[in-house]
Amino acid sequence: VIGILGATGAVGRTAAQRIAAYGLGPLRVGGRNVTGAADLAASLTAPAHAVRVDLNDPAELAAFCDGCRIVVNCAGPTYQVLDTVARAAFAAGADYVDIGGELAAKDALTGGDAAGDRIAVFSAGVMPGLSGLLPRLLAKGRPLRRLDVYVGGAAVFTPLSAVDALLTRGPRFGEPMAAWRDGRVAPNTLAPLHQVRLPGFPVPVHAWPYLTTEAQTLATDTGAGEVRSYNVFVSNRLPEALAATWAEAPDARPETLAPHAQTVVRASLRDHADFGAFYVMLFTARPRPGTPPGPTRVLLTAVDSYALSGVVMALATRAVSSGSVPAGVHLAAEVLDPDATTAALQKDALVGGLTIE
Amino acid sequence: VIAADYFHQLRTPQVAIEVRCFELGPEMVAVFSLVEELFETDQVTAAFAEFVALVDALADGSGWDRMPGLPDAVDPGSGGGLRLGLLPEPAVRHREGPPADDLEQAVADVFEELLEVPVLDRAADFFGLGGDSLLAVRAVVRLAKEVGGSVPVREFLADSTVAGVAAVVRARLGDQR
Repeated sequence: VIGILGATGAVGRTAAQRIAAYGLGPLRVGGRNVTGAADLAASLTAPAHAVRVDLNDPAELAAFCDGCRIVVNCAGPTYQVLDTVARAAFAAGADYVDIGGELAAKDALTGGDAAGDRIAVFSAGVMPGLSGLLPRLLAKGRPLRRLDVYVGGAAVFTPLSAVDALLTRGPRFGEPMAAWRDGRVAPNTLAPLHQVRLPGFPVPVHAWPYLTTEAQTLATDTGAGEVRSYNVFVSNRLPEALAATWAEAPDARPETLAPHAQTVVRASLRDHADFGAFYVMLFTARPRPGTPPGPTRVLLTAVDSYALSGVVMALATRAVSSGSVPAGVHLAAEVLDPDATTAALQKDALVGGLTIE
Repeated sequence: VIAADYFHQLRTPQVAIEVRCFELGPEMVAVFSLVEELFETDQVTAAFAEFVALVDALADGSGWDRMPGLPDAVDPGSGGGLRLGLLPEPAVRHREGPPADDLEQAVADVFEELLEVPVLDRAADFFGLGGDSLLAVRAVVRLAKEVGGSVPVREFLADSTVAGVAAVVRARLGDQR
């Protein structure tokens, strides 16, 4: 059985549908709202049954994981979940896939022997996740002079995802205005770009430099001389709402940030009213002169980044299920196969386009 | 008077030297602003002295009453005159896509450095990305230095896309061989 937590959410629904469609086995669909979970279970193309589960209740969580081959966690918020569900899955002898987690959860599990011969894959969504995986298509067999990452668009934030966004700050996540140059983080190197036209983005956009830890790992793994990574917005509303909250909140704890989440949600709703929903991932490579020819641009377009994250979660689950992921604790960007993932995404109806040229 | 105002004035690339005059009560104040690198100090001193002498002569003599001659209106000629849209649309439209080779990438890099925006497509147009004619001249100079091909400004203006400029460079490098 494959257990899916947070299955009735924006990400979980798509993850459940794809896992069912891939034929990975019967599903156990968990959520706080058991009626919604039951409706979803009934609509799936694989045998599925719904279970009420509260992640904060250790007994319910243990009962959910019991008997699962893989536990797939689409529930957040990441800051609360951390390694709790992963440990519950391991205790039940299951492998684990998580939409979030990033370094905090990976670190919490690494050291000691929490994983044993089990597998955990964290950050198996769009960003982080796909944003660190797809650029690897450009670096195969040749060092790059420069690699650019532009990811974003217009998406509606929920209060929970707003708090998660507000918390993705600090050295464990990334550094604003920094670039990667010659083997290390170069602080205060880049400036925000305003009203720029970027290939694949339907309107002029605002791009804010943010060198994520994922981009830093990418730089090291690919040997790129320079990496520039931008979060892309359709207007300055969201960057301003985030900055205002960071300035006003006395500290960066979920409880102090939560009252401000509505500011961020409102900004995203106004963007959505003006620009609709779209999501673009653009990666461009500048090879060193004289290196073998190869692709220099990867461009993915989609309407809904949450649904796209669900597809990535399902693909990560399939990779774990098929034995192509080694035992241990991983981040999806570092352990999934870029070519296989690309081929699967190109066939998926939720991907508007995925070109490599 | 705020110094920053003058910096602002002189950041307009066309302005190399500027004289501003003010009336302050019974006195006249003249301010010389200039791009230091372009002028020798003694040239500036001489120009200032000449200007002061001119002002003195005008103030003392009959300069205030003399009627200066104005040139006659210029005949715009048949079909001439000023109108918008004289520049034709570029004839060549390049297929969109990433820069196709090292040369196109080098041109994109030069554009990017001067325009301070990402230049990621071979069909990206220098002027569409915010370039102006002065930046275009600088681009031509930079290209000669970076890739060794001198691009005539006229040809740069005719097709100012990454692919178009690269094609001109390629043709000129070929000619030299």
